[in-house]
Amino acid sequence: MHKILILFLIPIFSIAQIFNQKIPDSLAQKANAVILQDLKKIEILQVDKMLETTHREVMVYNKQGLDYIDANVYYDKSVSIQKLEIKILDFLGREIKTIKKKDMKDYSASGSSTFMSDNRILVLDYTPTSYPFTVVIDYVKTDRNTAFIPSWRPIRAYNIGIVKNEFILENSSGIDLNLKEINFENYPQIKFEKENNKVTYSLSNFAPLIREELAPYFWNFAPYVKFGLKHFYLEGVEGDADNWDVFGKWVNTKLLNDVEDLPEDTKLKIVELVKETNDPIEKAKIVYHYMQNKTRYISVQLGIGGWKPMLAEDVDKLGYGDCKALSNYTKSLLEVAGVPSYYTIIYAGQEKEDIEKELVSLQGTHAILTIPNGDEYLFLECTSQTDPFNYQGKFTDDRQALIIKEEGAEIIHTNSFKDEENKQLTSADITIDDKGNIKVKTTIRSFGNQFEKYHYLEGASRDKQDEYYKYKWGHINNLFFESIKLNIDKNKIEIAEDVSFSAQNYADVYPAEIILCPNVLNRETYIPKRYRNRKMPFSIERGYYDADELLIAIPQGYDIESLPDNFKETSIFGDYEISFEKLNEKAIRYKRKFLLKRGDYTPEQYDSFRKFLEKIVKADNIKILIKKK
Amino acid sequence: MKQIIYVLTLLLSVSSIAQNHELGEVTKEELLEKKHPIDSSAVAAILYQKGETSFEFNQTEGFFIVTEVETKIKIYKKEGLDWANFSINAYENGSTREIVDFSKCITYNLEQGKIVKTKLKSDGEFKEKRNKYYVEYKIAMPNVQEGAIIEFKYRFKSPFISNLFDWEFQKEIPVNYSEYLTKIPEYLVYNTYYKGWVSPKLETEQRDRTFSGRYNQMVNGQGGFRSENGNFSFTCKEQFKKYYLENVSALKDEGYVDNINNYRVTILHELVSTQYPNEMIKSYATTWEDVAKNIYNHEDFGGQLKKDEFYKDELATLLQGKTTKEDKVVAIFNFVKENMNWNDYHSFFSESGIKKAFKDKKGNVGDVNLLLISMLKSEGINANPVLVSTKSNGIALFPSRNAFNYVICAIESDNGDITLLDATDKYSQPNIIPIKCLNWYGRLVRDDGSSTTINLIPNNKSLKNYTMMFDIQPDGVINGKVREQNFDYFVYLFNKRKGDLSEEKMIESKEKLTKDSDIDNYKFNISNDNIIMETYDFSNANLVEQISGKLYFNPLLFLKTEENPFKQEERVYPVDFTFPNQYKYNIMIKIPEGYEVESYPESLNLAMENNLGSFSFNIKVNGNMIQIASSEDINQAIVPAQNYQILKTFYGSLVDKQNEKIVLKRKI
Repeated sequence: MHKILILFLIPIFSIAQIFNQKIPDSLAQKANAVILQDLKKIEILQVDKMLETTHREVMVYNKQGLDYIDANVYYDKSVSIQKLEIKILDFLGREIKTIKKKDMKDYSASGSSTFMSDNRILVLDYTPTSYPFTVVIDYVKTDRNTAFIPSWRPIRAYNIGIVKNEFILENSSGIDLNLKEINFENYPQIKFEKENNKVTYSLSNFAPLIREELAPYFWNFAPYVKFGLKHFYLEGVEGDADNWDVFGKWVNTKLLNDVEDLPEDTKLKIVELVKETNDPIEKAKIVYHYMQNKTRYISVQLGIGGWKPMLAEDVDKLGYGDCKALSNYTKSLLEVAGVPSYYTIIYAGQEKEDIEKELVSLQGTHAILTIPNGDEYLFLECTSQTDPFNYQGKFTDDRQALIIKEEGAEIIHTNSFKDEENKQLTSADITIDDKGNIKVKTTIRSFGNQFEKYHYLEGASRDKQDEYYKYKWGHINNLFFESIKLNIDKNKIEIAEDVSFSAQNYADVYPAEIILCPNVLNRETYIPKRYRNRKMPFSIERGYYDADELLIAIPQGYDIESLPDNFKETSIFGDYEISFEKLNEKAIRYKRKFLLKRGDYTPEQYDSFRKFLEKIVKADNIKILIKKK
Repeated sequence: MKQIIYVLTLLLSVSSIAQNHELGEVTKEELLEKKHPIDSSAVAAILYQKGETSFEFNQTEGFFIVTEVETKIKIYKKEGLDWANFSINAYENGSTREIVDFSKCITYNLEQGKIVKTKLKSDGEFKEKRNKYYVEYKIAMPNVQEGAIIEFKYRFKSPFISNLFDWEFQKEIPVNYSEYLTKIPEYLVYNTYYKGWVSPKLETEQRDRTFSGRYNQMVNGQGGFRSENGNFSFTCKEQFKKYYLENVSALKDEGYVDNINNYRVTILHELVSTQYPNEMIKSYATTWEDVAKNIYNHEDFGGQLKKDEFYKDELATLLQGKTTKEDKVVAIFNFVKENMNWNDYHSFFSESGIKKAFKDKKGNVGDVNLLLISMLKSEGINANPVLVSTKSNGIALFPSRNAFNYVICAIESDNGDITLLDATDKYSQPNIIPIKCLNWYGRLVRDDGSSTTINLIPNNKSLKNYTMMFDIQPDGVINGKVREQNFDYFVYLFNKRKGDLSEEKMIESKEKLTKDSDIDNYKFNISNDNIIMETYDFSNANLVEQISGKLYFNPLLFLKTEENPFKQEERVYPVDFTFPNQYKYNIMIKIPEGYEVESYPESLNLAMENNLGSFSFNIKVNGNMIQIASSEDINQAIVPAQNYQILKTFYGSLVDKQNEKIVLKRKI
């Protein structure tokens, strides 16, 4: 113990040296902050003792850099902070302030989405008087929980330069350690050493990354290492992770085993509800709706409750729970109905993150429920009171998840909609008068993840719906809605919006002609930024398909003389097509189809993607001219 | 006699209302109700809420406040389930603290035609320490389903007698009935204030109240100190005031609102004075003058202004060669602004003392601006503090310290002109104080403690001036030059937006604002009189439409207003433009050889009623040159809601005009 402290005290004495060395321009250019040193040592001493020693020196260049000082120390009941000291140095390296643990602000770490938790956070409260300045952070903390070992993430954000980052993990517990390196392929400069029970990672002299539009999610390209112990401790419980099956059994016996009982009358109710059908999927649907109507989502994370679901019985009684509790509750209900399902651990969020198959350990941030159905799986989001049954939302789509079975655990991939399934079909009758005013009657049917707009529209008041459409069609001024009708079919996962409106002065009226843009309802306006030298790859995370068919009736006394040429653009990014057709003397049919494909692309392809969208934006703005007789 | 009958009938009618408002009385009809009878879009509604504030007394604490609140809520839709969670903050300062106790928390559901009750147990009650001063008490009601009714009661005990409950009659959901009863002993005097569009009904009554209990005290008698126990009892008059309202509509959220809480129907109390038996009357703030004086007399406020020794040397150096008053003011203001760093904390009081703040080069608003005032004063300049309430602090209804949360500096000239200074914001200038301060009135406090109200919202229009010259090529490409001049608040906004942005980023944002034009020679500079001028050249091939050999374009190009910002049909709250403003456009267009103007938008002059603002658009065609002079004026920072339609129509016409196009055709 003493040894370590001495080891890590040395750098503090050498701070002054750092200032004598000039930070290379390449690291400081465009940097909001530069990490002079970030030395972390994790020592796993025994199954329930992990020591974390951190020494970090951050030179902050400007206000945006303040976010990367990272002087926040999280703790809970299993953590004891032995030492915490922060020094502030001015630009010459002179110490101007020392901050001790007692000077830190102590806050609850429950965010707005958590109702109750016992996590706390110590926050540095410091107002800089000039830039640059340097913050030196030293802390030592002991955690009894070894289920989560801090991962190594040398590059944490854009615009941060790194002089030196070193991470040592020393495992003297005698327990085997697993690790998984992620996104290392693009960072050959990372150094790795291993001796006996010690691994060392380091990254030095790393120039800041600069964000570019449409860049992939940060953690899809930034390097990091995750660790896991084969035998670990979590809030009073020991666990095993030799392989996924052993781990799965542990989850089953220690976290899920004693939480599944339901009251007798609830069981009877479920049996009664599902007796009409033999189809397990129909049964599951009934049970899911029962759960949705009975419960609401409240996040309570206390002690082992951060990982172990609360009793199904309690959820039944209280009518609420967090993701774990509601998934486990639904699982218990399904069991009564005779439908097998698996408790499933996953990383949630629109930014996709996988459970790492090669790293057997406690991972994930969310729980859902998986129902096997022949060769496929259905996934149930149990925290939503309104999601359709088996609706694969963006929150958990297209990623690796861990399902917990009786006999073990297994990694599977969640579903995702194909580009063509994220569909929006628009049809409309449009009448234009000789003042340029239009009347529109449209029906918009949406599927796949374009269905997700129902989240907002379903519960919204008429005022809010009005507002929604006024922003959706912001390019049309003076909108007035005659009627808005929604038809949400959660069985088919389809929303139909029937909207009628009028708008004054939509078209430009001239003495001899009227000019209008026939694409009234669905205009692409986004053109990605131009880069002279694009460096990052880019991703289209989710694709979609829009098809529009509009019938436009022109006013009395006007003629359709000529129409613009039809236009078609095909590329690896998708297909676009518009057509103009004179139906008769009084009417024009305008058709538009646009398929955008999901995909990951190279920096070199960026420019052609930009051109593709540029053409579409331009084509969406093509006008037609009708002549006065 | 007549009077008595009147009172009696009143009481009777109230008690008949009251009968419908008891916890534990839930009917099937209420549970079956599918939507709110008045507001069908309501996700939930407060069926009733009843509060009662009274005083208790004990020997150790003296008088303290006990408020009991009963709430009954109907959940109509799943989106309303959040109303089944409730939390309240309790303040604590050392050993003095507020305490909350929940009771009678029950959920009612209708299951197979039967009313089913579920009680909240201790596992649904939580207490969390948020930070040093606040503990959050919360409950999550059990078994709440769509259609359920929940009710709960809590008791809020507080030793802080100057803060009576702020009773909100209006919530984000409809309130069917809300009642607040105060029982205040004659020893304490409070003023009552209302805000919002409607005032509650009121009934009053006086009764006798006896306070009794046990006491324990040390008595110095024979044989030294001994403890003596006994009973105490005293009787006084108590004032009962019952405020109530029925059918209060939900508080609506709208854009361009300064602070929604300024409009919420609420009742507030102000402690005026206390006079306990055998004691002198002790008065608390009663007038704005007194509030200002009290604040001024505080060591952390007026006390700071007298300290001037510690900066003598720096000041002498700073003012070397500066002889006029104006030069000195500018030098001192810039010195404080540049040297002092605001730590993001509000308060008119100096947190660390201006001396320490000066040494550390940082402090809260009080530290920075009181230092500024002190320095100005030490040079004989007539500078004084102005107490301010920021927008987020809202508008106070009655005089109290809490009405203010900020202080700035005012310099009064001999002819009575006032210059406002705020040194906490690096972009602030004389009379250009941060936007958050443009709220309500400020209170200027002079050395003798006397004070006066001053206007914070600027009367002068801030000006933004565009000069643009461009020519159109036959192929539709436009090349041109733009000069943008920013004055006053537009300078402030420019600087805020610019922040630490690099020139590259500035050009990028200009490209976005000019519909992806190629921008060249981008420059900006700040003149001595604080005018920011931006100039740039642009080129864009997508601003002209070519249809059947004609060219169509908007003469304002990318400067036009695309959409009417006022989209709602109706409006409840005033529209806050922040400051009065004027946009001016001078545009010179050269059309290509071989083309002539076929049609162009007609000139237009519009003025809004009540002198709210005006719009003019004048166009002249002269051979191959087109000249446009246009201006938009908003004359008042805040436009009342009843003028909303005028505003909406005005912007509708303005946007239509700006979207009209010039048509060029080939000369024959």
